[in-house]
Amino acid sequence: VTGSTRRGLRSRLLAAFAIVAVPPLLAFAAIVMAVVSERLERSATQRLDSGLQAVQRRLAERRRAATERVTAAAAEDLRAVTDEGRLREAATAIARRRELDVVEIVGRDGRVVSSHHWPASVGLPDNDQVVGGGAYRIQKVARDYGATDRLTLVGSVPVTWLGGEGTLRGGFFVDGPFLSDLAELMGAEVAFRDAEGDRWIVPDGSVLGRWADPQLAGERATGDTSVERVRLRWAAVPLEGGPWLVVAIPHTLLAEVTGGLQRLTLVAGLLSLVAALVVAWVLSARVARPVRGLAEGARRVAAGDLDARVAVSGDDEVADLARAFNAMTEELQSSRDRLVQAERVAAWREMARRLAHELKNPIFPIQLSIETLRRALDQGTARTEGRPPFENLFRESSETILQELSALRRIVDEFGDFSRMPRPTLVATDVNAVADQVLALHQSRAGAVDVRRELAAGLPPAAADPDLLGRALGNLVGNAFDAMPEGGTLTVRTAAGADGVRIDVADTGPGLTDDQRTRLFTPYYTTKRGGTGLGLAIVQGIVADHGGRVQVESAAGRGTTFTLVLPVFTGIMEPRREAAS
Amino acid sequence: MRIPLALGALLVLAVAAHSALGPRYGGEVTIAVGSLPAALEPSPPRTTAERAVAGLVHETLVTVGDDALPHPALAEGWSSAAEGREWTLRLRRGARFHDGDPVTAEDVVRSLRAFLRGPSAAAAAFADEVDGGADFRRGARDALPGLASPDASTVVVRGTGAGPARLAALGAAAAAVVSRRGAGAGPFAPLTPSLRSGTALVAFDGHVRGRPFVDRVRVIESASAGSDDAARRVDLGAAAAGSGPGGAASVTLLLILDPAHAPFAGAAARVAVARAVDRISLARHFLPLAEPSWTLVPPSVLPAPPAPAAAPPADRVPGRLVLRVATDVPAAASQRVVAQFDALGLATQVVAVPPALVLAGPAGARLFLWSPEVAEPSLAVSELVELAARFGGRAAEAGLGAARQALRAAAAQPGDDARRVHLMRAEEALRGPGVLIPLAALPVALRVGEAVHGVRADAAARVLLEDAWVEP
Repeated sequence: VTGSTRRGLRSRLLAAFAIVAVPPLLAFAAIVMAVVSERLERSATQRLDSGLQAVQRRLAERRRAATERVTAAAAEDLRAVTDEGRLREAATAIARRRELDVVEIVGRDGRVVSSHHWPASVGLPDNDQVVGGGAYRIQKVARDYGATDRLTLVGSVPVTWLGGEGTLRGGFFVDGPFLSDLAELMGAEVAFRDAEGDRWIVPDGSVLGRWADPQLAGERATGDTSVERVRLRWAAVPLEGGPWLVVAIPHTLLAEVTGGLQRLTLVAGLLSLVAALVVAWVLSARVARPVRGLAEGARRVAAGDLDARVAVSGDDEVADLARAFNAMTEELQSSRDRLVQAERVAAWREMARRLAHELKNPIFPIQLSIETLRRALDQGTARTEGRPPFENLFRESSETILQELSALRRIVDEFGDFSRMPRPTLVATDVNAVADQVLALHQSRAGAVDVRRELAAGLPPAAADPDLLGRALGNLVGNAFDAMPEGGTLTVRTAAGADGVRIDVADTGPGLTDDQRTRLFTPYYTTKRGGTGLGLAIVQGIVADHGGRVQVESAAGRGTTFTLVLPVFTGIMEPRREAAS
Repeated sequence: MRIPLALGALLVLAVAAHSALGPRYGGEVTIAVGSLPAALEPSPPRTTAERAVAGLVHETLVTVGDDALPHPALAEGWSSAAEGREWTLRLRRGARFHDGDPVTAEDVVRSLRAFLRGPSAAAAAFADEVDGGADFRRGARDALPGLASPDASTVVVRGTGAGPARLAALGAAAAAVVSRRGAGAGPFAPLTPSLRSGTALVAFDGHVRGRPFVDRVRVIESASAGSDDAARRVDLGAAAAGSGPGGAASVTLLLILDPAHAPFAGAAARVAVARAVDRISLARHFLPLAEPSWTLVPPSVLPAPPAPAAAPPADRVPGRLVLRVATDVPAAASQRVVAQFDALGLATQVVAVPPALVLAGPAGARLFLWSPEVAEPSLAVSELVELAARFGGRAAEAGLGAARQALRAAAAQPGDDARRVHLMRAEEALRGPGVLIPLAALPVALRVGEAVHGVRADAAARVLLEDAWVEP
């Protein structure tokens, strides 16, 4: 398990959480928005319809009230007019008594006889602009120094007075304030459209007044429009004998709700994503932590630390795995202890066997020599015909004894050397120089062997103890000479590798069998007569103490190549071996 | 029971006797005006308020009486020479300005030079009659040989070769004489250089006609006038706003149709409007104190001819126009004019402006109250000639030519009656093109508190408080 694997596991968990959390939310939001929009659309249509109906009801009420009041005024109020002077003021009197906004009396000749709302018109032709059938009229109403045009809804009755006859008209304003009140009540824009006069009658500030070309036709018109960047949904109906009544609702509400939903969805999506990532992060951490502990434990075990244990928490599969890991390491530790013990016993046995073997060889000649001398001494010192004299025998036997004792001493020295392998002092070492020294030292043993030097130029210094390295190389060179008693080629090659400085010692001897290669570095294992089996073990120990490694390539009949790989000197180096123990 | 009755009778008698005691010095009168004059410097007044304030603060060389003749004011007398073409005016001895300086011939010449270069219509007429006046008024020359001051108390006015100068022009408010420091010589001296609502004017002891009776005159705007002390207040808000001793003075409700603007480019449209306006109904029903008027000059200045016969119905004049209305015109009268326009098919947009601005700015028609600067018939007609020339352009050329010719003929007449005939012809010629349309003559109505006496208006619609006095 590596860091990238950990990141991958966490990333996958995060992505999985995001994928699981966000799309459903987006889908939910889309559905909600669609439902809300549809409801709002339906609500807008209903509001428009109800608005139109409400305004029409109010207009019908006004028209009925105007007709009733004008009829009553014609029957009652005008009869009280007894002279021309009062006739001129009659319209104002009627307006005040009947609470009418506009009142005028128009003679049969079409001239205004009396007017409440536009007294300046008295005596002049009635100039009202009739919208549609007659109930709706645009009338001039006195204002400051002039007049303003107002839309009125009036009732009319024929009247007579002081011998004259004409029409009494009275009614209400149904423009600005009237529409403004309705608009405020309904929360919508309300206006009249005089299609013939191509003009709007709107409350102050209404955007409908700036709608240039409304397409109004049929019995009911509806649609969407945009006036000065204000989007409107509108509906309109033609009033009986009058202008079109237009009700419009700004899309603001719809836009606000939709926009709010979109913002809410975005925020909720982001929050969900963040929450999912946080949860995923926490969960992945909880999952990855024991896995990481297991990986660390496995690395320690691989490095030989069989004391490594992982913490076990919970009762899930990961905890089972941790417990299994701990059990495995405990078993490994136990097995290793047993193996070490067995190997130690086997080593002692091997050592004892080797000692017995090594010691037996010189002891036996010594024993024979001493027994020969003792027998000769027992038979007397007289010189016997045809037999060597005792002095000669003594000399030969003592010579044999001394030789065997020398062999015994050598055996003891080698064992002593093996046991007293010093700790290397790592310095910057020119491997080529060491190789040259070793080859020069063993040159006398070359005999028929062709020695080749293939030493690389510009080799970086190795971190090595020159003496110990020379000894290791000497062992390898000696072994190579021993492997080629009939001659051959010894090649010493140095090179800079990616993993350090490489030294190859290759011979063209008979090579090794698989069994020999397997047991090659086992102490006291040897294939040479008179060998101690410690040479290669010493080589391996030296190289290991340098933090390097030994590789062997060999095949029967094709020779053997030993490769030493030593670390490059970097400045401060410490030998790998702990204090000798 | 008899004792209280007797006491009550005594009280009533005391009050009645108090007002019957006659003029007395002291007290304060408040003048409420629609809007305060922009400045106190002599200038042609546009409103009743401006005329009143000008008459309070300033004094002229001569005043023009109801007889349309010049009367002594700062000039105590004058004599003529060179067959009437040279006038020598003698300044009143001891005449002083409000700042204490004596009124000298140098002050008069300086003031009249400023007058001649000002916007006054009377100045325009006077400039045409003074030697070198026309060039001086145009700025072509700085020398003004027709006006001289041979000594400190004498002013010489020399007319052109065509005839004598009309001294009445020197009675215009714009011809007031001021000191080097701008002080006037009117019956009341302002306490501050400019008028603000509530500014007081104090009686001037050195006035040429003597100290006025009232100690102080306070000028306020009508909007700030409360109900308190209404008995000592004179309201000059609107010409036809109230009742009061307006006297014979009147102003003309004048309608100007501008041929430079559609739909009045054609004479037929202008004449149709002039004929269509029902002046009788306007005066009777919309201007209660007014009289219908078919002449431009107020009857208080130039007698009006008999009313013309009823005109046939006017043709429709469809179109649109902007009507610029002075705010001192009664709103009902303006509305009636709008209704008349509407009946003719004219869609009218009304723009109400202060009286001083009614002749400015673009408009198809203008409605305002007009009175001559000087209540002298020939000067009034001359002023109307200026007005017709300003707005009539080529459309009024024929009428203007006839009017000027009649004016010259009038000047040549020795008798007043013959002169009036020619002036009436000139006035009629001015009405001909339908540019200047008189509608009604409105009296200068004042609302005078019951404790104020002696307030009157002269023929030029100027409210005079010189002889006013107030009950304590």
